[in-house]
Amino acid sequence: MAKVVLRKVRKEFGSSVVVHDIDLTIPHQEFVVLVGPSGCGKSTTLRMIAGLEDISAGEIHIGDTLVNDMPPKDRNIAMVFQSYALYPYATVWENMAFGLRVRRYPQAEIRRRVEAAADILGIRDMLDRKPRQLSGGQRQRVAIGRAIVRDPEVFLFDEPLSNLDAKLRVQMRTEIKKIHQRVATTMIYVTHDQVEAMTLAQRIVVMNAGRIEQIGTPQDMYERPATRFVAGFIGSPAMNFVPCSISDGGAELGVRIGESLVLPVPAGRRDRYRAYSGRSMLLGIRPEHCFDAKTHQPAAGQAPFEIVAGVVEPLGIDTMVHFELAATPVCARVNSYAVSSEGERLAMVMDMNNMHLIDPQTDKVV
Amino acid sequence: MTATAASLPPLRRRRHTWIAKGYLFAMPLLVVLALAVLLPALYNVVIAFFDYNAMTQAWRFAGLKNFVKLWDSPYFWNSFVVTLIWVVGNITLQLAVGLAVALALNSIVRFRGAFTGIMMIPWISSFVVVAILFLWIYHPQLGVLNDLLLRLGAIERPVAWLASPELAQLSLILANTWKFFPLVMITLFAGLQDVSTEQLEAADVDGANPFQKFRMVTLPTIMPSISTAVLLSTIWAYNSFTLPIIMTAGGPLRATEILGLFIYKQAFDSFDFGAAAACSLVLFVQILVVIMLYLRVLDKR
Amino acid sequence: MARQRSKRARNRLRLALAYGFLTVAATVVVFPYLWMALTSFKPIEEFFTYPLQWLSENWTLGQYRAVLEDPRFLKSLWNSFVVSTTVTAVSLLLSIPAAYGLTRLRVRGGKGVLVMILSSQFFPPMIFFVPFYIILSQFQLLNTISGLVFAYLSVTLPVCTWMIATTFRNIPYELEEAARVDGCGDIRTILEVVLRMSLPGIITAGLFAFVLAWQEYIFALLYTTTTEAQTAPVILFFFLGQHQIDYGRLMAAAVLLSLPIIVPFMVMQRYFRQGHGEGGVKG
Ligand SMILES: Nc1ncnc2c1ncn2[C@@H]1O[C@H](COP(=O)(O)OP(=O)(O)O)[C@@H](O)[C@H]1O
Ligand SMILES: [Mg+2]
Repeated sequence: MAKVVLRKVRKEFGSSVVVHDIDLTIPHQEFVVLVGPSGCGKSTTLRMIAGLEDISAGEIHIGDTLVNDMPPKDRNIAMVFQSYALYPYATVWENMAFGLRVRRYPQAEIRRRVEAAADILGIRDMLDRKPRQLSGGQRQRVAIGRAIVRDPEVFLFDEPLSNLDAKLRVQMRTEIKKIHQRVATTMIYVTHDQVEAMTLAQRIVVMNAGRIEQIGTPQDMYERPATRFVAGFIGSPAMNFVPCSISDGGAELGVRIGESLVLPVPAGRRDRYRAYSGRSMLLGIRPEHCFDAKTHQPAAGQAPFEIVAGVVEPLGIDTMVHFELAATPVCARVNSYAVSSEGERLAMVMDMNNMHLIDPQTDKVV
Repeated sequence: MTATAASLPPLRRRRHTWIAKGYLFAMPLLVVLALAVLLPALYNVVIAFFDYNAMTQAWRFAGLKNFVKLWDSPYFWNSFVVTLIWVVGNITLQLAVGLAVALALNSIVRFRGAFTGIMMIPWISSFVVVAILFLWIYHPQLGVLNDLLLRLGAIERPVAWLASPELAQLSLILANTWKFFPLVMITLFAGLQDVSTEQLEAADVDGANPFQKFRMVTLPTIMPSISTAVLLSTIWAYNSFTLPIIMTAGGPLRATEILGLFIYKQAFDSFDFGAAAACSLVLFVQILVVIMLYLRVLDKR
Repeated sequence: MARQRSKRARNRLRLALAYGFLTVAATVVVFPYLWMALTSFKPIEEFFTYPLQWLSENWTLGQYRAVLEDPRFLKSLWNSFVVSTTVTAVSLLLSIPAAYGLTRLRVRGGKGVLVMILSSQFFPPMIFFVPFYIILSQFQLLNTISGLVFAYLSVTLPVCTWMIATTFRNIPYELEEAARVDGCGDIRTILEVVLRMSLPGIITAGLFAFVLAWQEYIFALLYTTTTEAQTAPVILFFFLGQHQIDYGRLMAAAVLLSLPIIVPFMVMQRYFRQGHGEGGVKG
C-alpha cells in the first residue's frame, strides 16, 4: 500500500527557500495533480519525492517507510520526465526493459511486461525503433511505458505533456487517465496547466511560491476556492475581480461597486459577509456566472445590471463580451445572439450565488 | 521546527561530501597536472632568475641578469622580429585559406563529409612528416615545386626555397599554413552553422548581392569564431618549433630563427638554461597579451 | 519566371565554383602525401632524372624493405606504439573521472577549474624544455618511455579533460535521473548512461591523445638520446641528419609513420570533426 506522506518538507537552494514546509498526504491509488505557475516549486517537490533532490528539512514517507535518505533506486517509484529522458542509443524495447534488467528480472518476465505495456500504449510495432525515429507523442508513450513495466508503488509525472502539440496533449491526457484506471496506482502529476489538472485529478494541490494554497477535488477548487490565487488560477477564462464594498442595509446586504451599482447578497451568505461591511473588498465572479438578461430570466439570488459592451469575441457556442465595472475590466460569457458589436448597451444578470468575496488584506476568500 | 533542527546536520554534511566528491574524482588528474604542468612552469620561472654553470652544474641567483642579457642580445631582437613576421604571416594566410574553404564547404551538400575529411589530413599529420614532405617538395634540385614551375615556365632556373634568406620565411609560412589551416577552417565552419538562413533570405529580398550578404549577415555572425580562430592560430604560431627546426634550423643567417628556436639554442647549444627560461617567459607574456586582447574583444560583444 | 531561372543559374554557378575550389584545395592538401608515396616506390636512380620523372617505370618495394630491415626503425616504431597507447590509456583513465567530477556532480567552481586546466595549453612548450629536462634527469627518467609518457601527459590531459567535459555537459541531467529512478546506483548510472552517451567524445579524446603522442617530436628529441626509448619521429629526423640523405628510405619511413594515424582518422573522422566543432577547440 503506497500512500505518500510529506511532513513539513522544506527545500532550500543556498539561501533561498523554494519549498516552504509542505504538508501533504496522498492516499493509496489516488491521482493527485500538483498545479501552479512555473517556478512555484512543483518539480522540486516531485523530485524530492523521487529522491532526486535532497530535502532540507521534514520527512517524506512512501508507504510506511521514511525515505528521506533512500536513493531513488530503492524507492520503488517510476517517473516520466518532461523531456521524456529516453536513452537515445537504445531501442524502445531496451528503453522499457532497462529498469527491469537493472533489477535482474528474469528474461521471460521482462518480455511479458514490456509486451503488455506496449499493448496498452499501442506501441507494439515500434519496439525495435530508436527514440529519434519516433514522434513526440510516441516518445511520450515509451516514457510512460518505461514507467508502467516497473509496476511501481508510485508514479511521478513532471509536465509530461507540455512538449506535445495541443491536439495530442488532449488525446494523451485521456490516455493517462485510462492508464490510471487500469493500473490503479498512486500517481502524482505535475503541471502548470489548470485544465490538465482539472481533467485528470482526483485531487488537486494548488501551489504558489513554494507553498500549498489549497488541496481539494476539482469541483472544490472551482466552486470553493480558498484564496484569491486559487480563484484566479483555476477556471478558464479566469475569474473577474472587481473592487467593491459591502453596504449594510439592515436586513439586506449589498455589494457596492463604484458609485451607483449595488448588487444584493443572497440570503444564505449575509451572515458570513456582514462582518466585512464598510471595508473595501474584492468581488470575484466567473465570466460564466454573468448572463445577458435577454435570454436569461433572473432567478433567486441573481442581480441585474447594465453595461456598455466593449470588445466582443464570438466563440461559436457562446460569446465573450468585455466591459468595465468601476473602471475594472471584466468579461462575461453570454449567449451568442445577445450582443453583436462594440458600444451596445446590454442588460446583464450576475449570479450572486456563485460570487466570491475576497479580503484584499489576507487574499483569502471569505 | 524540531524536524528542521533534527534533520539539518546530516544534510549539511551530505551537501558537503557532494562538493568534495567532485574534486575527489578530479584529484588524480589534478595531482598529475600539478606535477607535469604546474611544477615545470613554476620551475621555469625560478630558473629564469638563476645562472647555471654547465661545467660545475652549479646554480647561482642572478636576479634580472638573464633578462638584461636578452635585452642586449641582437639575436634575441632578431628572433623577436622574425617571430612577429611569422605570427602575422601565418594568421593572415591561415585565416584566408581557412575562411575560403569553410565557406566553400558550407555551400555544398554532397561530398561535404569527404571534403572535410580530406581537408583535416594536414591537421593530424605528424610534424616530422610534414617537415619531410615540404623539405622534399622544396628541394632545389630534386623538388617537385621547382620542377612544376620550370615546366610551366614561371621560373627560369631552380629556386632555393629554403636556402635564401628572402624566401625561407615565406616557404616556411606556406608549409605551416598547410599544416594549420584546418583548425581555422573547422572553427569557422562551426561558426557558419549559426548563420541564420532567414536573415540571408531577408537580405535576398532586400536585393543584396552575395558580397553584401556576406558582409552584413555572415561576417557579423561568425565574428566570434573568427576571433577564436585568430587566437588559436596566434598561439600555435607563437609556439611553433618542430617545423622550423627540422626545415631550416633557424637559418639561413637566422632569417627564420623564431623565438622557439632561439630558446632551444640557448638551452641545448649554449647550455644557458637561465637565458632560455627567461626568454620563454617573454614568449609567454606575449601570448598572454594576445589572450587578454581576445577576451577584451569578446567582452565588447 | 526569368528572374527565377537566373537565380537558379547563379546558384548553379556558385555550386560549381565551390566544388571547383574545393577540388583544387583538396589536391593541394593531398599532393604532398601523394608525392611522398610516389617517391617511396621509385628506385633511387630515377630521383635524379631531369626534368623529374613523376611516375616511376620500375616500381620497387626496395625502400620499404630497407626501412623495415633497419632494427633501429622497427624498435622506434614499437616505442612509438607503446608510448602512444600508454599515453592514451592514462589520459582517458585520469580525465574521464575528473571531467565527470567537475561537470556532473555540480561542484562549486568546477567550470573555473576546467578553464584553468585548459588554459595551461597556452603555455609555450618551450617553457617545459629545461624544467622537464631537469626533472626527468633527477628522477632517472631520461631515455625512458615513462619519461616521455609523463611529458606528453602535460599536453594530452588538459585537452582530453576539456573535450570529455564538453560532451559530459551536453548530456541532459534528466537522463541520468531517469536511470536512477530506473534503479541504477552511482556506478551503473555513470557506466550505462554518462559514458555510453559520451562515447563519441571519449573516442575523439582518445584519438587526440594517440595522435599527439604518435607524432610528438620535440620532447622525444630532447629527452631520448639512445634507441632504447627513441620514437619513430626522432629516428626519421636522424635519417634526415645523415650526410647522404637517403630520400627514398626517408619517404618510405614517413609513409609507414603516417598510415597508423591517417587510416584510423579517415575511418573515424566524423567523430573527430564533431569533437572539434562542438567544443573540442571551440570552447
Ligand atoms: N538547482 C537549483 N538551484 C537553485 N534554484 C533552483 C534549482 N532548481 C530549481 N530552483 C528554483 O526553485 C524554484 C522552483 O523550481 P521548480 O520546482 O522547478 O518550479 P516549477 O514549479 O516550475 O516546477 C524556481 O524559482 C527555481 O529557480
Ligand atoms: Mg517544473
